[in-house]
Amino acid sequence: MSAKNTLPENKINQAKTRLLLALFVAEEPVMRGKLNEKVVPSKEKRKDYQSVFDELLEIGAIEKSDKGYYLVPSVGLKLLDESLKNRDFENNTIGTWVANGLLKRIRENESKTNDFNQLDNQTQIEESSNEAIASYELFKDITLEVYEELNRNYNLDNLVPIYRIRKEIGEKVSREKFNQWMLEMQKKDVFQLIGGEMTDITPQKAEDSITTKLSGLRYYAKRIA
Amino acid sequence: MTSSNFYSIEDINEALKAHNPFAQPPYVGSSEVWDKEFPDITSLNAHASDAVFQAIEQIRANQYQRTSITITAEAGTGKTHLISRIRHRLQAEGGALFIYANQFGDLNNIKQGFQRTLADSLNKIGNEEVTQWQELAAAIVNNALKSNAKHLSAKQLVKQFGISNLKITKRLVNYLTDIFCKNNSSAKNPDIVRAILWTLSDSHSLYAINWLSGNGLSQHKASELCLPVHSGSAFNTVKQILNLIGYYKELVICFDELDSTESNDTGFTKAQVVAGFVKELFENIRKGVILTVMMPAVWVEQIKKLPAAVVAKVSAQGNPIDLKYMDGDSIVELVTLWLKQFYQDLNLVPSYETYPFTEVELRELSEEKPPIRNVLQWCRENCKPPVTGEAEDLNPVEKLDPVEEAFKTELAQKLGRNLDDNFLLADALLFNFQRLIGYTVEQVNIKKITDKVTKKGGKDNYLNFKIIGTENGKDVCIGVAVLQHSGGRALGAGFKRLIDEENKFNLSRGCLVRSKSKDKEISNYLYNTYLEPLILEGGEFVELKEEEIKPLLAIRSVHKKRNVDYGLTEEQIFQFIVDKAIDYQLGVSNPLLKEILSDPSYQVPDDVIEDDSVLAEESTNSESADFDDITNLLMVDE
Repeated sequence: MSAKNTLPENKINQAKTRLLLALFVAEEPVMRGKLNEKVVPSKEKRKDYQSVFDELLEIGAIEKSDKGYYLVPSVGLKLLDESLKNRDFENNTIGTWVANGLLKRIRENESKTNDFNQLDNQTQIEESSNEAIASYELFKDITLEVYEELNRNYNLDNLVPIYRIRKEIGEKVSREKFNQWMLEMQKKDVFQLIGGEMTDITPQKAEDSITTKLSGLRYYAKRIA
Repeated sequence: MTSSNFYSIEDINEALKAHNPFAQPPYVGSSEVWDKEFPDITSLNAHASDAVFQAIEQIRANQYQRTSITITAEAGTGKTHLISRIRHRLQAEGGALFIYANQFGDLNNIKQGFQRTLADSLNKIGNEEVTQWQELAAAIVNNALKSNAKHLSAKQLVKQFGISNLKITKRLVNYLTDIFCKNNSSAKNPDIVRAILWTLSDSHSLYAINWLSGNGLSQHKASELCLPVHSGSAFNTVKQILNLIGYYKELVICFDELDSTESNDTGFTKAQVVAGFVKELFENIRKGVILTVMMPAVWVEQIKKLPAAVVAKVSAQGNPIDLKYMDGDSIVELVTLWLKQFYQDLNLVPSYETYPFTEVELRELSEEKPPIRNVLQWCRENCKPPVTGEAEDLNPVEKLDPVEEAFKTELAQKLGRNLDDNFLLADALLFNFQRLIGYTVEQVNIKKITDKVTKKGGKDNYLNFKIIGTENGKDVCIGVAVLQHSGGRALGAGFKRLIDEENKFNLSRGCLVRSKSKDKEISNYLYNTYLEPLILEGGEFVELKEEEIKPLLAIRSVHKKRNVDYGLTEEQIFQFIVDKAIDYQLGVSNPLLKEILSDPSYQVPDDVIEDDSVLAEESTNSESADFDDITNLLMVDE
């Protein structure tokens, strides 16, 4: 009826997406036979869909072993997510496994940040950003850099508001760690954290400063070493 | 007695329950600077006090003549404490005179305020067990008599002046003034030298210091002391006094309490006004160190915004010196020092020095590097015996009302020459009257208090404020003037406003507020021309009594320092005035406020007229003693 490799591109793309999704759902290697059931539509030829496997193998989205095909998460998942957004992935009839696979992917995406899915789940962001500044030493270096930069650029005369440092460092470190390490820097006589007259204080700025047990709110950092 | 076992732990615990060793409020004020020192660990922030002592040494060694140092630190870190350390060490070791300036009254007129502070500071006891004025006077005497080669101590001179009669003393003072000025061309104003010499005489020092502080003298006293009625321009007088000091001694001038919300009429803050003044002072003193302390933010946001020339003069030694927070070692040392005093006084020996605190828990406090004040506050709240297993009814530590504590701290401060600061006194009265708006006191229902006293709504230098309200259904407007001047001219100007003959102020009656001390007696002329007519027209003479104005000044001070030092809100302070009116003579319970509002008595006081008989008597005496007699008088035997 039709010659080899004459399948329209959208059909190939749909097949690729189904393959990636199937491997994602399976979470373990799957034999070619099982996969064909999901990749090749009924009444169509397996041979016509050979290129789907070849191409994904070639770009490293999937791998092949003795036990069958499996997904390479770093490339495969990214490709899956991109393909799901592609309008090509539309079908009149959707199998239960597809729907379940999609749900699984959505849930996973929701609990994990990734490049194109900006989620504002605070705790998760902190968890993953902790990896950005993982040690006191690193924090100290970065903070001093930020301090010097703010001090220089805004002519702050060695009195840099803590909330501005926090803002610059942003989500690379959790609020809790930020407070803890700033106090550590004070303890080691790198900074003095100062309260005193805060002419421009607002509740938000106060919240973004540091509050200590005995001496209350500290608003500025001053470099002393 | 040596074994600590001798004391049972119960004794010690009972003592701790009965008296909190940390009960003293952790605020250092001028009283601690001048009088009993706050417990001091000298190693804490030694770098900052050492910088000052080093500067004194270098000036003494003629490396340079003058310098200025700025110390910045957050509230409660020990700025005033450091000044107190400097003062006490100077007092113990001698060599330098010490001036402490923290209040200036009217910020539009800081030079006058400083002149008063200078006179007050020099009236404090220095290194030689006499006042610093007397130390300076002794230096002048010794310089004048240098040919006689015998050094006279200030103490000997005070004793000698004390036993001489007025006639002799007067001739002596004039004689010494003359030769001193002849020998020292730099002594431009003999009257200032004369007034300083008068401070050696106990019975005249009050008047002499009044004059030196810019307060002026009555005509009668002025002629007795051979001085003009008024010392003239405030800054000229200040300059000359500091110059004289510069010839004999090093000088340390400390400016403190700059972090307040006060500002002058042109919008400059207290710190900025003082900085401008420090610049002028720096340019005009011969020799000395000027120390200015403030919070880092005040330095950056207020001082650094002034012209560079001002900044450079306020901190000639470069960048401000920072004070350090407490670390584990210094916290342990501090607590040990306080407790040592406590246990020693009670003759107790605890099992270890920091009892009831453990060293571990004290060191834990240093995690956040607290300022010293916060450590002491923590100690006070937590200084109690460890809770035992038994169901002991440990009295919960009574938490002092923070406003009450602040108020008591301020109340403990000595007034000194502030009792002559019309502006400061009037400001306190105004503040306290404002709290009475809406109340009816002494039949006066108070509607408004304003310092915009003229018909056009302007301020006046003599008439401080008006109380507007109704009295028995009729409108009433009481003009209040605090007039502590001794001198006639200023007093006369004030009286004229109170009588308000030309109806410039729209007063229904004028109220004079004035002390009745010896140096505030008024001449017959003023009495007849102003006081009598004022009283007969329904005005009042309300006697200013120190104990009655003190609570008003104290609560005003708390209000001024509410943000930085005490961390209080206006509402808390206002509520305290209402709640504690009876306990502390505040608000409606203050006799001075009540007296100002009360019905005029139409009684002219008769105890305020100057007795000028002495003057008359003395002027009839011939001046016969010759100079040899006078100088012989000073050749006292050891």
